[in-house]
Amino acid sequence: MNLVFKALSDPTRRQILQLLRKKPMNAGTIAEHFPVAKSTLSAHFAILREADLIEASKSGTVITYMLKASVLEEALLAFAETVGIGIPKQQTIFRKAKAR
Amino acid sequence: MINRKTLGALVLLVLVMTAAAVWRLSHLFDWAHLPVGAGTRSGLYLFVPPLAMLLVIVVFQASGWLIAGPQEALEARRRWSAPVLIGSALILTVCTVIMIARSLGYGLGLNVSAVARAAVGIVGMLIIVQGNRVAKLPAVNSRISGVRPTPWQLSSTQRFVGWVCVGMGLSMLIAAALVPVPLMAPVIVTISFATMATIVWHSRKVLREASPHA
Repeated sequence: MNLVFKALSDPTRRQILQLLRKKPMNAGTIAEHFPVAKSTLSAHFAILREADLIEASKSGTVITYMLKASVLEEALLAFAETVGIGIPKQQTIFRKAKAR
Repeated sequence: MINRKTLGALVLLVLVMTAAAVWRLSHLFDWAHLPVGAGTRSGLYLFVPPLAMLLVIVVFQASGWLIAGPQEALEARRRWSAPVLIGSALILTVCTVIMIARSLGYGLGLNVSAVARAAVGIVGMLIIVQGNRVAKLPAVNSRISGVRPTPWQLSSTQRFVGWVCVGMGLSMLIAAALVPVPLMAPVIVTISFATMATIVWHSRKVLREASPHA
């Protein structure tokens, strides 16, 4: 469970999971959504895989990721997203103001 | 789709329940009159728990014959089903023991309603725990259906089944706490059918939709 909490504590990883909730995606498509280096994103994928939250299937050179979260993990994801765990305080205030 | 150890334990519990029922019936003057509290009921009522468990075993085994997939995937499913089956069998065995004890005049002060509520509550909790893990199970295909769902369709369906099972478990917990005992059985049957209908509806919907590609 520690691995799951660690994985969900990062906003980028949570955004990856949110994207994968809608459909399976390959690493390149996911990378288009984030202004981070591919190596950083690979590290995020590794943590998510270690926590057993995503599943990777390789066909040729393309790795496609798919969500594999349990009900509790999806609920935790929604909770972490609502509370804004791992998001800097200023960003949280901005998000709340935007929501209002 | 039951592993050998679990199947052995289940068969043993069914045999214990059946043997206890037969033993009790052999001591009855009239099989149609099993003492229950102040009144009596048919002695054949004692065979309901072992028969119910036997039905569950047959359904689970049959579901194993209907699916195909890698050995690890099938083994993971067998391990997943074990706690629910053993838990249910233990609850039914306890119910049989209570019925027999009460027919012999022991435990007449026992609050049967509380026992029934506790049993439904425990089964509800087991369904929540197992439903939570459905999405983690490796995907398998149907052996008889010609439809070959994509990994995404399978994963999407399993995640939905997980949520529905957790919903069913929570409904059973609520029913155990709030529904009057005489209405408990019809309420649970309704919840079970509603759960199955929702799963079938969602599976058909997912299979009809085009699988999203990366």
